[in-house]
Formats: sequence, structure tokens, C-alpha cells
Amino acid sequence: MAQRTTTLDPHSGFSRRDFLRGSGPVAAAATLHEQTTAALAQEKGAKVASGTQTITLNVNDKDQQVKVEPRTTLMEALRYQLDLTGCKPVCTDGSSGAATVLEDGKPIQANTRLAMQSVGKKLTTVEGMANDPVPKAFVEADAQQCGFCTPGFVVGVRAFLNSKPKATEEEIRKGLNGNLCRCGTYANVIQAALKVVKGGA
Amino acid sequence: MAVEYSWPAKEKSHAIGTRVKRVDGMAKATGAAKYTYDVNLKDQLIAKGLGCPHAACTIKSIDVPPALKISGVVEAKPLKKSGDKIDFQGDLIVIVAAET
Repeated sequence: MAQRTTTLDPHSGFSRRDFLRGSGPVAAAATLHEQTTAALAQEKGAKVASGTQTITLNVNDKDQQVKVEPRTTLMEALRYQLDLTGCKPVCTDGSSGAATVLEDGKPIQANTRLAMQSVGKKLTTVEGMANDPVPKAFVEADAQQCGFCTPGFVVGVRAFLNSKPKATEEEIRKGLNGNLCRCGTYANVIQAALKVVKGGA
Repeated sequence: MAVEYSWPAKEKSHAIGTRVKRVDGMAKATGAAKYTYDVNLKDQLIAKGLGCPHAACTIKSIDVPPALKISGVVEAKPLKKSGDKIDFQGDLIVIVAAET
């Protein structure tokens, strides 16, 4: 989705500060909201959704129905309706990487994605990777402590190695920089990823 | 008085010098492990606390009924009463439980 910023002409004698002061934050927010909605509706192929809807998500090779509102995030749909709790709520802005899932093979943060955006996409969560060598390598390298960030790392490693199957240690370090671990298991996570590389998975 | 102690011989120990795998390692690595945060019971309510936005103040009044009118809200309980002093920002004032 395109980022939009509203700029006011500095020579119009109508500054942004005056505008906000005059109309109050609520009115300003409402105006911006209306502008954004209208602009998005004009965009080619854009749809405006409202109310609760039943949508179909393809998760781990299964079509599943979930009831969502436009504001429902993919993570909420996965966790609270499909009980796929491997996707963890740690941050609200995608900075922790704990909510990483694959969408058509690419890593996305399920907590910053709306469920409706993933309709028609092929989603893979950590639960769908039980037969993947990555979780096994994590156990063998002891790449976890409390384990709360681990699913995000497992999906992250899978996604990164899909794009770079022969990655070096340095590349893996860089490739996984979107995942955080408070226990500090990074060293062993790298070792687990290297095990997968060497195993030719 | 010093206590004499020596580690048992390696061949007599079942733990020293061996690699031990985490018993719940696979469950955690595949997302199967359930943390408290992951429990989804039928008809489960979600509770949230409202913290005071001010660092030091006195409560004038708390009006709970409007919160109860919002659909899905089951319970809203004030934890303070009017006249109570707030000593720190984030001190819980009201707790609300609602359907998901």
C-alpha cells in the first residue's frame, strides 16, 4: 500500500499548525481519514470493506474460514480463531519478528498484516513446518531457551534459506536481523541454520 | 572445617560430560508449546487494565456505566474510588473484561 502524507502549501497562508489548532485533533483526524479512504477507493482495484465478514485463508495447505473485521490482523485470525499460537504477539510493529509467517513463501509479519490482505495467498505458519529440518536443527543446536521467539526464528531461517540455500554464517547473521531474542540464543540459532545449510535441506 | 568433595568419575555419572536435549525443544520449535498467552478457551474473556495517564493526581470521579454499554463488554470494575490519590503513572484505575 502506498504511503500517504498530507502536506499543505507553506505559501497559502494556512499553516499545518494553524490548521490543527483551528480544527482540533479529532476533526483533523477525521478529515485525514476521509481523504485517505477516498484516495484509496480511487486507486485501481481497491475495495473498501466494512463490518464482520467471513473470509477463507489458505493456511498450511488447508482452506479455513475465519470471521474478521477489516481491522483484524492476520495474527489475531491465526491465533484466536485457528488456534495457531506459534505466531507470537511480542511487538505491535513487526520489530521483533516473533509473528513471522510465510505468505507465498515470503516472510511477513502477521501482526502488521490485515487478515483480509492474505485472502488468496498461500500461508505457512510454524505449525506447518513439523516435517521441516529447521525445527530439528534448532533442537539439536539447542537454539532456544524460553522458546517464545523460536517459532519466529524457525520461520525466519526457513524463509532466508529458501532465498539463499548456501548461506554463510555472516549472511545468516544479516538475514536474521529482523528477529529478536531476549534470552540471547543468537549464537546457537546461527549454528542451527548452518546445520540446515550443511544438511542440504 | 573444609568439606572434602570430588566429582564422581565420568563413567559413573549419567549427566556430566553428556549433551542433553531440551525435553520440550521440539514442541517449542514447532509452535506446539502452549504458553499462558496462547490459551484460547471457549467463551474466554479478555481483560485489560486502564492505567492512570498522570504521575500524581487525585481521582475526582470514575464513570463506569458508559463502558458497559459498549457491545461485548461484560464487566468494568473501578479499582479506585473518588478521592483516591494516584502516586505513579500507569497505576491501574479500571479493569475491563470483554468478549474477543
